[in-house]
Amino acid sequence: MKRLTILAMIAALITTACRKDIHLNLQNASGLLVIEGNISDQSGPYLVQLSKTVTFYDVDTVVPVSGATVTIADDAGGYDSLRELTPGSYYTTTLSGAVGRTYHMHVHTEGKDYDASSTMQPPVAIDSIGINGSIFSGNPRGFIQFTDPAGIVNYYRTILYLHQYIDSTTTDFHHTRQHKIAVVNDRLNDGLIIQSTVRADYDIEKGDTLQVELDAIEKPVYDYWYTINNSTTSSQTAAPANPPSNISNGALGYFCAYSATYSKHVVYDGNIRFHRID
Amino acid sequence: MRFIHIFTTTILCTLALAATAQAKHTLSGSIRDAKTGEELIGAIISVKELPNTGAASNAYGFYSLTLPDGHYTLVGHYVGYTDYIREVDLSASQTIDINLAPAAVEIKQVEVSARRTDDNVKQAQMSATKLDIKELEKVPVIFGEKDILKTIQLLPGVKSAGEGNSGFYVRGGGADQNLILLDEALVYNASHLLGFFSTFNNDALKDATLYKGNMPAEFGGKLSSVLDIKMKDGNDKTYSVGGGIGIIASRLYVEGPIVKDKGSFIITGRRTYADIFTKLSKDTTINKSKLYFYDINAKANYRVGKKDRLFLSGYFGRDKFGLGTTFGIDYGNVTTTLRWNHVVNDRIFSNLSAIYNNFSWKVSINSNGVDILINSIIQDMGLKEDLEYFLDTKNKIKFGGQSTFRIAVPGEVTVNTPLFKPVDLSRSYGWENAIYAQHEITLWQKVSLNYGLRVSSFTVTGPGKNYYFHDNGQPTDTSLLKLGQFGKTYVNPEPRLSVSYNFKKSMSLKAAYSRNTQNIHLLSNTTTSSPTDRWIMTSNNVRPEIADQVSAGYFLNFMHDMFEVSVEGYYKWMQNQIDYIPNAQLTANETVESQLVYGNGRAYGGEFFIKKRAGKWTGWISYTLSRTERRFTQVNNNTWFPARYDRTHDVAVVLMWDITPRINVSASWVYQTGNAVTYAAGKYQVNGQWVPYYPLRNHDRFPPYHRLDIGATFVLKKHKMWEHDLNVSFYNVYARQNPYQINFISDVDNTGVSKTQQISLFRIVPSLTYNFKFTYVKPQK
Repeated sequence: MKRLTILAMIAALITTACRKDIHLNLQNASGLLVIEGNISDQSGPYLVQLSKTVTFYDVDTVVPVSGATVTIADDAGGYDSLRELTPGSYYTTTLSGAVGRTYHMHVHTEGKDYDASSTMQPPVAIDSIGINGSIFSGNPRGFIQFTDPAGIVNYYRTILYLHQYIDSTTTDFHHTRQHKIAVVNDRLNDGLIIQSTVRADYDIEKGDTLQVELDAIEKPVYDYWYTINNSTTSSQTAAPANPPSNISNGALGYFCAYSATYSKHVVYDGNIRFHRID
Repeated sequence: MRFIHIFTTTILCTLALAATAQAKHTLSGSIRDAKTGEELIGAIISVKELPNTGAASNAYGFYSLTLPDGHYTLVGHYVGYTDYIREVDLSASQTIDINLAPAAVEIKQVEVSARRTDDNVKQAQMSATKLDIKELEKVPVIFGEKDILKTIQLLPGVKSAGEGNSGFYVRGGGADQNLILLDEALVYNASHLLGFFSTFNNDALKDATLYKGNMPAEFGGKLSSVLDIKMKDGNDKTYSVGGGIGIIASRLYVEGPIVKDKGSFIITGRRTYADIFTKLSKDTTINKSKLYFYDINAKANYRVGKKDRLFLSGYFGRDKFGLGTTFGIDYGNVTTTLRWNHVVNDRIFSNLSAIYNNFSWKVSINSNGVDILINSIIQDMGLKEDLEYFLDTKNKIKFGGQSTFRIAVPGEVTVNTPLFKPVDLSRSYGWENAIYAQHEITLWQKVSLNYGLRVSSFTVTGPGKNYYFHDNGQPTDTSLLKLGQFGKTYVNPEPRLSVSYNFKKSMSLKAAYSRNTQNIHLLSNTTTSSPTDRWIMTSNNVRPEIADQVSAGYFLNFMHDMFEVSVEGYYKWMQNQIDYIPNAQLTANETVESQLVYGNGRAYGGEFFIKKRAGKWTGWISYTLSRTERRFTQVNNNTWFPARYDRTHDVAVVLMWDITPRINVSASWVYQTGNAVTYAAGKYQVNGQWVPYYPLRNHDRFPPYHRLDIGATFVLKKHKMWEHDLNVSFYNVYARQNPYQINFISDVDNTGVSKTQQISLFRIVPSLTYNFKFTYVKPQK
């Protein structure tokens, strides 16, 4: 990614690269099953969503998959048969996520069975959150800092929720925007302090409230989000890859058991500033 | 080893045949440019009285011609030079140095046939192109920077790595499978500014030959091609200074005698100056930014007595890119070659070279008080000996060996913060050896044969940690080597054979087979090469890459060798090719080999070429119809899939027109089938975010690529002492928006709508270059 940025900058310096929208004759890969299941150490109910792929040029509409049988069992004898409350959304009824337990998800739909399992990792505390100037653009970016447990391999998922402050003279409310997921591991800093940028689509402004969630996850889910964040939007990548699913039988998506910690702070100033949580 | 046995038996038998002795004597010497003293490579010396008898000068201008006693008329010729004619009475061996005078432009149009040769038809060697450095200066290129690596992309069988890029693919081989040699030293990264320029400054170059496979046994180490570039030796008669001023870069060179007629030197330099404009900016991030490259070529040679000559040559190039004080990257090559030419006797020529080359890069990141420095270097130290034995006019034997010790430092990280732990990226060491012998023979006048054998070996050398992996990428075993200890050794015999049958004058059929191996592999998971891509050596897990190629062709020259036509077909198999698992972590990974997968490749195609070599109009048309495929167990369900640079049709048309001796215009047009790429075929939502879905790899195509470039050179003055000219060129004249990248994105203006966006790099790029040359001429007394 960094390389592409440099290349783009050089290209911009030498000449102006031009962009135009083109229409391509794309293959049709609609109707493939997508499963997204999450279970955490926070209070339930937990959600498993079933949908189908649409063709690339279709308008973004989720095609829900209804009438499936979805169950989650754990290694301590717990079992839950999920209820479809809205089309394609299946909720747990009794299950309560616990650290250290392994969860098995089973989905039966259109005559096929899909299985996945995931083990809930212990939570990791957030030391602080804040905003920073970034290396490549001057725009402030949110970041999170925490201490990695030493001696074990850890994978993390961070989610930024930006409560955007809208000028009170017009409308007086805080608008929440959930932002992209970022993942980080401790490959280069096992047992040390990890500072990681949280991804946002929008610039952070004065008055916004920054809320960051830190999830302890397993490698398959890390790989899943790592791929999405790194190689899926450009044909310039040598081989754009689909994120590797941890669900059997060819289903797209993932099943993730995770533990979460949260931190929240108001941005007082749009300038680069470090905010330490008390 | 059975191979070697058969090989030695054959060579001994043919030698016995050849040794039907009669009173013979040898003429030998050097063939040089009369004006500058530069040795001419591949100049022909023929005997008027004995048709089909002659010799060509070798890489150091040395020739040797053994004839029966008699009275002969010798004719020396070389493209762009007037013929040299001399009568000799041969009754004893003698040394004759031949000085060829460059032809004046006016004569050029008259004496066409005398200076053209049909060597391209007669020689057994096929799939080789000798590049005319002077002709190269006429072909228009981007930014007006004459570039050998961009001009060879206009030849059949050679594909460009991308828009404005100096990287190239030969007959389905990867960009890292080209053996690019500068005065025998391997150039690892032949590009500047991330590929927009090559490392070769035209002012420093004397001669270049491209072998698209079926290379002679003297070359080895890379799978697909050899680009053998030789630097100028420098004028040993008088001093001259020249250079050029362009929009992107400026060049300067100085050459002259060290001792007249005994030794000379040449120093060339080049630097870009885009950063001069960034300094003018008021923005501190921009005006503290660095963006430039420079390179220096230097060479000196000295004749020690009549039989010995020493050469010292070097290349030093560096790219620097920095964004304010926060990010910097700095990379480049160094090559140095020390050579000793020795004429053992009038029929045996020896060259011994000591070679050092490296490629290194350094990345520095400074962000919020955190300094990170990453250092990488790959370096080779080697010795190479080549012996040429000019047995008689029909037999030539060449043999020798090479030994190279290689060290790779794969990106050592130093940080000033406790936020990161240092990664233990152990250095790797390897020892590569090769011996070879080849025999060029002419049989029954019409058949030429060039056969040879190269035996190469690679030894994993200590100190180092070598992992053994099994399928899921987890290290299963570690072998530790101490300093000086040898690990696994791979030995590969590489047979080479090419034959030509001249069934009519200036018409021949040729066929060839060759095997090549490669023990150094470039890991890059992007499409264009980046300086920070990692080179790894053959190891316990990574096996030598092997390629076998067969090719056949028809060659024809007509109208007194004014036109040259060739049709060639090839088929190539490649084993132990390297690819990566999805989401491979290639940087700062101590077990990078766990990210690799291995498979096979195949490439086949036809190449058509027609060239007009002389006259007011010159130029060529090349067309390649080809396929390049790869197969990996882990990709596309183990079926053959097209390589990214598999382009079915590839056309290049180059025209040059000398309107007057002072005005020359040129044009080149290229057309290529789009790259094989992977387009999104669907999308789905996870966590509220739309994610594209990709079906099989490389099953879609970019739109076709085509472009026209034009250029003109105006000679302002051409005098003995002072000459200068002006070159104007336009890249992509009709402003075709060729796809560089296609993005699959959400439309920012229309929520919920996905679109495909094409990014093109260049529309029209005009450029202007002013070139000058001043030669010191002693005033006449």
